[in-house]
Amino acid sequence: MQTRIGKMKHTKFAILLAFLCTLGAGKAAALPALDFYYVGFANAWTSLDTSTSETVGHHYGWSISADLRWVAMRIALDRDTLPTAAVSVSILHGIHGQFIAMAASNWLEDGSRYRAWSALGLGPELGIGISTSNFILPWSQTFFVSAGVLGNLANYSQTSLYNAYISWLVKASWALELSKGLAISAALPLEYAFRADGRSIIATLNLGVRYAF
Amino acid sequence: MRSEQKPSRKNPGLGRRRPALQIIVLFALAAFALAFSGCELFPSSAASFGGRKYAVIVGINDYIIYPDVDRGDLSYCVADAESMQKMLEDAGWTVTLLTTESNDPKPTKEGIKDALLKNVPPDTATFLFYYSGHGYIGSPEEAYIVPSDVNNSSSTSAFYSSLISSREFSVWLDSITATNKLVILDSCYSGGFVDPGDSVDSIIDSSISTSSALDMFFRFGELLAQNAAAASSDPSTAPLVISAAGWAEESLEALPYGHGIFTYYFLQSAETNQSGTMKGDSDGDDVLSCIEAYSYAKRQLVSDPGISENQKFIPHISGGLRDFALIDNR
Repeated sequence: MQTRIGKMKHTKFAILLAFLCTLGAGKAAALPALDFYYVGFANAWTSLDTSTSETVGHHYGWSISADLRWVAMRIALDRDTLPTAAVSVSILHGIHGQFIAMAASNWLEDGSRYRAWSALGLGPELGIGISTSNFILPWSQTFFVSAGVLGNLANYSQTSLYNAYISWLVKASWALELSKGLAISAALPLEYAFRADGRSIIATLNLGVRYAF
Repeated sequence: MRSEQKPSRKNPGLGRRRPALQIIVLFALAAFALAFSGCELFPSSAASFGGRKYAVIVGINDYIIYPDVDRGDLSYCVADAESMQKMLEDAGWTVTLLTTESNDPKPTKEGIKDALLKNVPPDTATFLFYYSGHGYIGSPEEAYIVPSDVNNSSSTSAFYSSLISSREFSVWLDSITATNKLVILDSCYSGGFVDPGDSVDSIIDSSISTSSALDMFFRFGELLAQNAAAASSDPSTAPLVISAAGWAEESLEALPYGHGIFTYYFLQSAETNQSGTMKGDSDGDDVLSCIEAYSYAKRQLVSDPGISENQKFIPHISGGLRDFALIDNR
């Protein structure tokens, strides 16, 4: 019985090790890319857990964010070898960091509103992207979808109260390479935040630059 | 055909440069448009408020235990209560005032209890309780309001049972069915009534100094635990509590103000400035919220040069997602 359990553990460990080796090999082989979104336009919708749709408050605000990503795996989808492939698919992993500042929500009919808050979030992300050099535009483009989980340190604006919450992040992004390594990029992150006795959905439009090292 | 094809051969990059420039310009324009749009792609609707707004206001200058002497009495709590009454009535609130200078009802323990349990109209949407008078502290977890008929006899149990503890007060407040509940306390040690709820207050206990954001970052685990604990509470019944001082601090009143100092600045937040907006209305929407009034009073109080360093105190506010309207001037 003990031997069997041990084997099961070894199997799981081997799978995990293989996965980590893949990521590690990717890190060693592929250089990182940094996305810096300097303009972030954010909207959020907050509601209490017990509330109905009538008590959803709408916030607006801004954000800045950055992603540092490595290519874990890249596969060419055409006959060319990877460096010159016109179309390729990449699996990327990295770190996402952001700062958001949201204003208080609109006033609700019962004379209440949801507080303004700001939050610093950091967490890992994993995604898949497709790169092409001949789609509509004559430059290399990357379409990328990623998901991550963030730990957020938040402060209620105008108060000395700090709190923390976990949020899920799903993001679609696009980068257009204008010169070697340098690209302009845009992203649409959608975040679902578990905030104590309520929930917030935060939708952001980010514009920025991307640099591949 | 040849002549049409030639330019593209001689200048193979020409066709690429023009779209590149266009894209960069469009991208930059979009970025600036968004940045300067005030981030309001979806303008929010500001609802007009419905439902009754009802307040119980208590001010105690004269404590019955000292009938013939001024010992233990306060000077400006009744003025605090009356000014608060005027501010709220001007804003459409219905107010019940309990002061030691009014005939009935009196701000005794029974009088305050009745005002909360028996007299609040059942259709009240927003309820506010304001208190100006003495406070008392037994432990950081148990603060007290001192009613006018406090029993200051030698019996400890009689003394404590004549006070209104934060737990007792919380039970009374729970019996009120209003959706929004606000509590404002201008008394010593009133921070003992403030529950940070889903948050941790960075103001250090028994001090006016605050922890930095970096300190709070290193307490991330504690903050997450606080968040999880608050998730199990009922958000619709949690009151928003503002206290003049921390649980270990005394709240002061002084002659130049003619009020408790916190209440003086709290009232000032509703005064209009030269541009016609309320001084505390930081977002300029013509609605003064509790957080705005609190923030204004705190800012003024902390920077007040008239309060010596060893007498400094700092207002506190409870946590939670919601904020409430005090005055709607729209």
